[in-house]
Amino acid sequence: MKTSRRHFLRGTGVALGLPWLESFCAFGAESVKHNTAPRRLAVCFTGNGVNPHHWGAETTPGGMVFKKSLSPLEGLKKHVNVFTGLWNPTTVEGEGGHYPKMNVLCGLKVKKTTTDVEVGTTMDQLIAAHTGRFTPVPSVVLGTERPSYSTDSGFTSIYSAYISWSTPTTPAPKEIFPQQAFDQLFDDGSRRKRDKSILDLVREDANSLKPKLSSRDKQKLDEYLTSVREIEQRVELAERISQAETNGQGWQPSVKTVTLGRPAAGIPASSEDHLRLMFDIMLLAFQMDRTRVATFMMNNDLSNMRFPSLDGISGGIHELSHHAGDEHRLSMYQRVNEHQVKLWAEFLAKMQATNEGERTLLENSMILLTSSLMDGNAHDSRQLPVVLAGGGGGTIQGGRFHDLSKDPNRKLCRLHLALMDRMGVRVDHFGDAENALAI
Amino acid sequence: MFRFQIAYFIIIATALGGFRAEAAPDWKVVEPMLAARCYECHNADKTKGDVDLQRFAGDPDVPANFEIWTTVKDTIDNGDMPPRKAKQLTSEEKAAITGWVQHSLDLLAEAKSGDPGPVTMRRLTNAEYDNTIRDLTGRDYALAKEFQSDGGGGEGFTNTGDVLFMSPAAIDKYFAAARKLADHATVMPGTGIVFHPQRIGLRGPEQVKAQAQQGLYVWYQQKAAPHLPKDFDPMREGDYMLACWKHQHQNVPLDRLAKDMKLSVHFLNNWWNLVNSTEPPSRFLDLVRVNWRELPADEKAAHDRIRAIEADLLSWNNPKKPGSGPQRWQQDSDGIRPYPMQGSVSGKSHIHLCFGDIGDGNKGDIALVTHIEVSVGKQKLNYLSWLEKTLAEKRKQAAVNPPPPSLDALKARIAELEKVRALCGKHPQPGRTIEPQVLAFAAPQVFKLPLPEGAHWLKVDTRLDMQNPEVDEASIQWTMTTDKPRDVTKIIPGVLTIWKRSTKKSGETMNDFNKMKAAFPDMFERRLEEVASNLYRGGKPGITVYYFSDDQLGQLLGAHDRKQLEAMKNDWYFVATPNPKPQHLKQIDDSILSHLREFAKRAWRRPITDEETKKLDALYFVSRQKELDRESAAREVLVRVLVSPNFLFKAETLPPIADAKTPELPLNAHELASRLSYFLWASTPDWELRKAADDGSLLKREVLAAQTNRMLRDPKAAALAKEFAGQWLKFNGFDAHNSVDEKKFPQFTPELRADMHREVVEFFTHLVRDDRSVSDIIGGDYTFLNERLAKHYGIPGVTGGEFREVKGIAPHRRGGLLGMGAILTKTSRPHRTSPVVRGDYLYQVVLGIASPPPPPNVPELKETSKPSSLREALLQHRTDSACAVCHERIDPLGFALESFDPIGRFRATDETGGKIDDTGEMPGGARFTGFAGLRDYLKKNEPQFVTQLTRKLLGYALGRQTLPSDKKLLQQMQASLKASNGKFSAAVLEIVRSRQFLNRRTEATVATNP
Repeated sequence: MKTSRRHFLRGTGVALGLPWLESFCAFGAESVKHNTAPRRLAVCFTGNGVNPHHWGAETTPGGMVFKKSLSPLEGLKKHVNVFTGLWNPTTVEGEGGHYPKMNVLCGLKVKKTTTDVEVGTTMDQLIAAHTGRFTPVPSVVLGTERPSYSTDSGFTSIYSAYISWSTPTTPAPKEIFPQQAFDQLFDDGSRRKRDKSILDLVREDANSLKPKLSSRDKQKLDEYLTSVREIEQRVELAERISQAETNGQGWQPSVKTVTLGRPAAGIPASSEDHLRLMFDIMLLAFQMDRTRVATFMMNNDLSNMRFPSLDGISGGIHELSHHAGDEHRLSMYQRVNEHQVKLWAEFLAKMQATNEGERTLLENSMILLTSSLMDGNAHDSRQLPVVLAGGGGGTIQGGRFHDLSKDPNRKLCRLHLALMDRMGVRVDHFGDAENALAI
Repeated sequence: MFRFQIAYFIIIATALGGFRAEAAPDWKVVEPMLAARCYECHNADKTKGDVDLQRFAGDPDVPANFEIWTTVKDTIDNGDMPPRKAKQLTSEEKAAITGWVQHSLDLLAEAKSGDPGPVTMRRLTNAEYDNTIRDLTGRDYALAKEFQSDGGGGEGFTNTGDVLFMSPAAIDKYFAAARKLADHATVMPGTGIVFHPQRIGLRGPEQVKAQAQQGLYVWYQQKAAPHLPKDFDPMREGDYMLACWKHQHQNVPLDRLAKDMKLSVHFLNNWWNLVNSTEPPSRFLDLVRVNWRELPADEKAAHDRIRAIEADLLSWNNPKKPGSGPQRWQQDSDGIRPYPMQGSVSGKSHIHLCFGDIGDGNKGDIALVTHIEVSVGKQKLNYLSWLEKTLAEKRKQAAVNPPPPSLDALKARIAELEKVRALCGKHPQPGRTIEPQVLAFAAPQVFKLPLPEGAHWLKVDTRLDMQNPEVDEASIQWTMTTDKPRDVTKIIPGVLTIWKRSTKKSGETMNDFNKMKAAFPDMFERRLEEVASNLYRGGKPGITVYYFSDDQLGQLLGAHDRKQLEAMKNDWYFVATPNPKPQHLKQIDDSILSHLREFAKRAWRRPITDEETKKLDALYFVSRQKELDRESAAREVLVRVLVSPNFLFKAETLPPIADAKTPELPLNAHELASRLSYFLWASTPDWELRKAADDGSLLKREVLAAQTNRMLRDPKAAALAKEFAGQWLKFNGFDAHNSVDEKKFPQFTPELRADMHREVVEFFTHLVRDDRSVSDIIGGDYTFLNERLAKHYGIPGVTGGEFREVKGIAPHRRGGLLGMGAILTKTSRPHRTSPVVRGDYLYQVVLGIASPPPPPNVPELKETSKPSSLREALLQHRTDSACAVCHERIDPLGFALESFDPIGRFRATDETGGKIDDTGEMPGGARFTGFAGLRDYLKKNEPQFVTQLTRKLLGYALGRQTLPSDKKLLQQMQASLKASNGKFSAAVLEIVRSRQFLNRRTEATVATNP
C-alpha cells in the first residue's frame, strides 16, 4: 500500500514520536531520577466551544482583566496566560461542524472516514513518550463520556470522543471510570509482574499469528504487540523507579502515599462529582509523580452532558451551545461555562497549594484549557479558546494576555511546540507549525 | 480506497434523493485538461510525488491504476492539487475530471460485484467479549462494562475492525478480567474447569477435598430430590413387602410387579435386597426383614401379617411430624432423665406397665417409678395417696359385719392394691434401698396396675435406676398398654430404649438401631442424605429402601448428568486418595491438561495445533515448578488463553504461501462458524456449530442454511436486537439514558426507563426469533408491554410486571418503532420535544437518507418549549433556502410525532394548554397527521426503509462499510425480503450465502482493489 502525501506528513510529526518504545533500552543506563522537581503538562478539554461573548481577557493599564467566563480564575491570575487568535487552519476546510475540528492537539487534518480513522499523534502523547521514561505511568488520559456509534455523517463519531492519539490511527485509551483511572495510576505494579510470563507467551501467539495475516490485519495485530511490549517495559521501569525511590535518589515527590480513597465502581451520578473526582485523581498523580502528562476531556465534543447540580439549567451542553442567541439559553450556557472554569480553577488552586520545594506544583506545571471550537453556536473554529496556567518550572511568566489574532502565524501547534520544548521534547516542527510560540 | 467508500456514500444519498443520470464525460474530454494542468509536474521525467500521469494519455487503464485515479480525484476534490501557486482548474474542469473518475470507478465497482471487501481483523467488541465469556463459562460476569468503550465505524457498528483498538490499558483490563474469571474457576481432574458465581481463589488441599465432597454431596441431593418420596407422601411399605412376598412365593418378576402395582422398580429392588439381607446385622432391622422372611405362604395370612409389620415399622415415626418420633429421639436417650409413660385410661380398670429388656438380657434393666398421677374427673390424684386411702376404705368395707355381698371383689381389689403397695420402697436387688414412695421394676415384666374408678388419664414418671451397679449394661424399654400387654422379652417397636449414655452397651445398641434408621429414614432430608452418602460408600449401595444407588441414579438421569456424576466421583477419588502414587498424580495432571486444551480450543474457536498444545502444557508445568498448586497452575493457563490474540481477535488467516493471483479465498469452516455466530449471536459458536465446523459440513450450503435458521431461533439471537438493531436505531444503552430533565419529568424513573428499553429489545428479539416481517418495524400493530409501561402509554388491561405481546393497539397510537417510549424519549431534548431531532432520526437513521450538516453561520432559530411557537419558528427557518433543503423534509416527519411528549406519553395539548398540531406536509405535497398518518406515509416508503435495513444489516454482518460492489447483494436481499413477505431470515440467509460473507480478500486484492 502506498503512503499518501498526508500520511507522510503525519509520519514526520512523529519522527521523534513514540520512540521511547523502541529506544527503551537506550536509556537503560540513564537515571530515572533528576535532582529538581519535574515539569508536568495537562490538557483539559471541553467540547462544543464556549460562549465567545464572555470568554477571554483584555489588557488594561492595570494589567490583564478577565472576561466573565474566566472570573473564577481571579485568585490565580498571576499564574495564568490567556491567548486569543490561536487556531488550527485545517479545521476550517471541508464539511462538518464538529468532527473535522477534533485535531486540537496535533493540528493535522481529521480524515473523513467511517473506518480507518486517522488524525495524528498528539503532542501530549509525544511528550509522554519522552517523560514516560521517568514515571510508572507514561500518561493518563481521562474523560467522562463514551464514544457513540454514529457514522451517518461520513465521519465515525469516534472522533468526538478523543483528543489524544497515541499513533495517527489509534486514539489513546481514555478512562472514564474513576476507579479504573485510580487503579491504573496507583497500582504498585505487582499485578503486572505476575503477568510477565504470560505476556511472553501471548507475544509469541501474536508473532506466530502475524505471518498468516494480511498486511491490513498485521497493522491491527501490531497494536496488540506494541501494547504487550509496552507493558513489559513498564514492569521493568516500575522496578527501577521504586528502587530509586527506596534509595532516596534525586528529587522526591512531596506526596508519597495515596491520599485519595479508591473511588467506587461505576460513574458518579452527578457530572460535577465525576469531574471533580477526575481532577483529584490527576492532582494526586502529579503530586506523587506517577505521571507527568495528563489529558482530560471534561466532556466529549457533541456531548450532551447535563449539569443537574446547577439550578435552573435544562438541556445538555451541546444543545445549550446552539443557543441561537436566545438570551435565556445563553445565560444558562454562560453559567455552564463558568462552572467548568470554576472546577478547573479548583484543580489549579490545589496544585498551587502543593509545595514542591523551590516552587509549587502549579508553578512546575503547564495546564492548558481549550476546546475544538470557539463559537459552538456557529461551529466557528477560526480561533480557539486557549488558557494556559502554571509556570512551566519557572519558564513562563503568568498574568499576561496574548492577542495573536493579527499575527499571520497564529497556529496553535506553535504553542504546542513551546510546551513540548519545555517538557523536553525538542523538535523543529510539529503538526502544521515550524517554530515555537514565544511565551 | 477509503475515500472511494465515502464517494459511494454520497452516491447512495443522491440516489435516494432522486438521482438524475448525467452523461459521464469522456476520457477524450478530460485528458486535455490534465495535459494542460498536470503533466508539467507529473510526466515520465518529472514524477512529483512519484506520480506520472502523462503515461495514461493514451489509456487511463482505471482497473489497474485505480488507486492513482482515486488519489487524483481526492487531491482535486480537497484542493490539494494543483498546488496553490500554480494555475487552478476551473470549476467546470474540476467537475469534469472528478466526474469522469467517479464514473469510471462506478463501472469498476460493478465489475467487482461480490468482492468480499476490506475487512480488518476484528477484536471482540465489549458486548461480544461479555457474551463470549458467558457462553464459555456458563455464567454472565459482565466484565466488559469497565473496559474502554467501543465506538462505531463502518455502517455505524462497534464490530468494525478498524475502530476496535488495542492499547496497554486495554491489555491490562483483559488481564484483570481474565484473572478475575480464573479466580472464579475450580479446575479439577474430573469435573474440569467449572466457573462459579462466587470467587474461589486459592484453595488448600483440605479445602479442595472438602469442596469436592461438598459439591458431590449437594449434587446428589439435588439430583435425587425430585425422585424421592417427600414427607407425608404415601410410602406404601406394606405394598412393597407384599410385592417382595409375591416375587418370593409366586415368582412374579420384580419389574413386572413394580409396573402392575405402580411401585418404583428401584425402591422395590431395594426392598427385596433388604428383606433378604442378613448384613448388616441389626436386631432392630430384623423386626422387618426376619418377620418378612417368616411370612406364611398363604396370601391372606401373609397380607395380614405384612400390615402388622408395617404398623410396627411406622410406629417408630411421628405420623404428624416427620423427624420427631422415637426414631429421632433414640440418639438422645439418656438414663438420667425421666421418661414418663402417660396416656388416656378412660373406661379402663387396669393398665399394663410393660418393662422390656429388648431381648438382650436384663442386666441393669431396672426402672424406677417415682410418681404416679391419675386424673379422675377434674381431680388429679397422687396414685399412692389414693392407694392408701382406698386400701383403708376397702379394708373397712371388708371388715364390716356382716360382710358385704361384694366381699370377693373387695378382697381381690384389696389384694391387687396391696401388691402395688408392697412394691413401694422395695428394690429387687438385695441391699438396695429406695425411697418409700418409689416403685422399682426389673425388666422383663408386665405389671398390671389397678386404677381408680372413673380414671381417664394416667402419668407414670419413670426413670432408669442409675444407682444400679449394673447400669452400664442397661437397655430397657417401658411403655404402658391398656389392652394386651407387649412382649417384654423382645424389642417393643415404637418404644424408646433407655440406657446410660456413653457406655459400650448403649453404643452397640445405638449402632444396631442406626441400621434400621438408615434403612427407613423418617424424613425426606434424611432420605436425601442417604443418597448423598453414596459418596462414602466406595461404589457399594446403601441399605436404605427409598433411595438410589449410583447405578439407579444413573438410570434416572440423562447422559449429561451421568457424565457429571462420573466426573465428580473422579474428583473425589483423586483428592480423597491418601498418599497418592506418582501414577495417580500423573493421571491428575493429564486430566487437567486435557480440560485446559479443550478450553483453549473453545476459546480460540478453532482446533489447536500440537505446537500450541505443547506450549499450554508447558505453562502449566512451569507454574507447577514455581510451586503453584495444580489449580493455580491451571488458572495461569486460563489467563493465558483469555488474553491471547487468538481469543481477543477473530483472525481470518491466509495460507502460508498466498497465491498472489488469487484475489480472494474462502473462509475455512471455523472462520465461517465464527463469522456466523458473531453475526447472529454476537458470541462464540456453540457445540452444534463447532461440530459442523469440525467435520467441515458447515461449508455445505444446506448445512449453513440449517445452522443459520437454528441460530436465529435461539435465545442468543437476542443479540441481533440488542447490538444490530440497538446500534442502528440508537436504543443501545437506553437503559442508562440520563438526558431527561428529572425535575420536569419525575415519572421517568429508572424502572420505567428499563421497561422502555425492554420493550424495544423484546420487539426486535421477537422479530428475529419468530421470523416476523421487517415491515412490522414501522407498521406492526403490536408491541411488548408490562403493566407499568402500558399505564404510561394509557393502554388498559395489562397487569403485572411480566412483558407480553399486546396487539391491536393502533387506537392507542402505538405499535412498532414509532410509538415506542425509548425512541420517542431518545429523540427528545431533556425538557421538551424536538421535531427536528425526531424528524432527523426518521430521515437519516430509519430511512437512511443522508442530510448534510447544517451550513456554517446558521441563522438564529428560537426553539422554545412551546410546541406551537416552535413550529412557527421552524417554519420561519425554512424561508431560508439553505435551511429549507433539509428541514422541509425533516421537520414534517417530526411534527407528526408532536402528540408524544418528551417521555413518550400521548398528549393532545401542550403545557400551556394549546392544542397540539401534529400535521406534516412534505415537499411534493404529501400530507399526514399524527402517528397513524405518519405510519401510513412511511409504509408507502417501505422500499426506502428496506434499503436502509439491508445496508445496515450487511454492514453489521461483514463489519465494514458497504461498498459499490455490494449493490447486487443488497438488491438480492431486498428481493428476497419482498418474496418472503419481509421475513427477517430471508435477508440473513442472502448474506450468509453471499460471496462477501463466505470469502475474504487475500493479500493480492488488498494491494490493488478498493
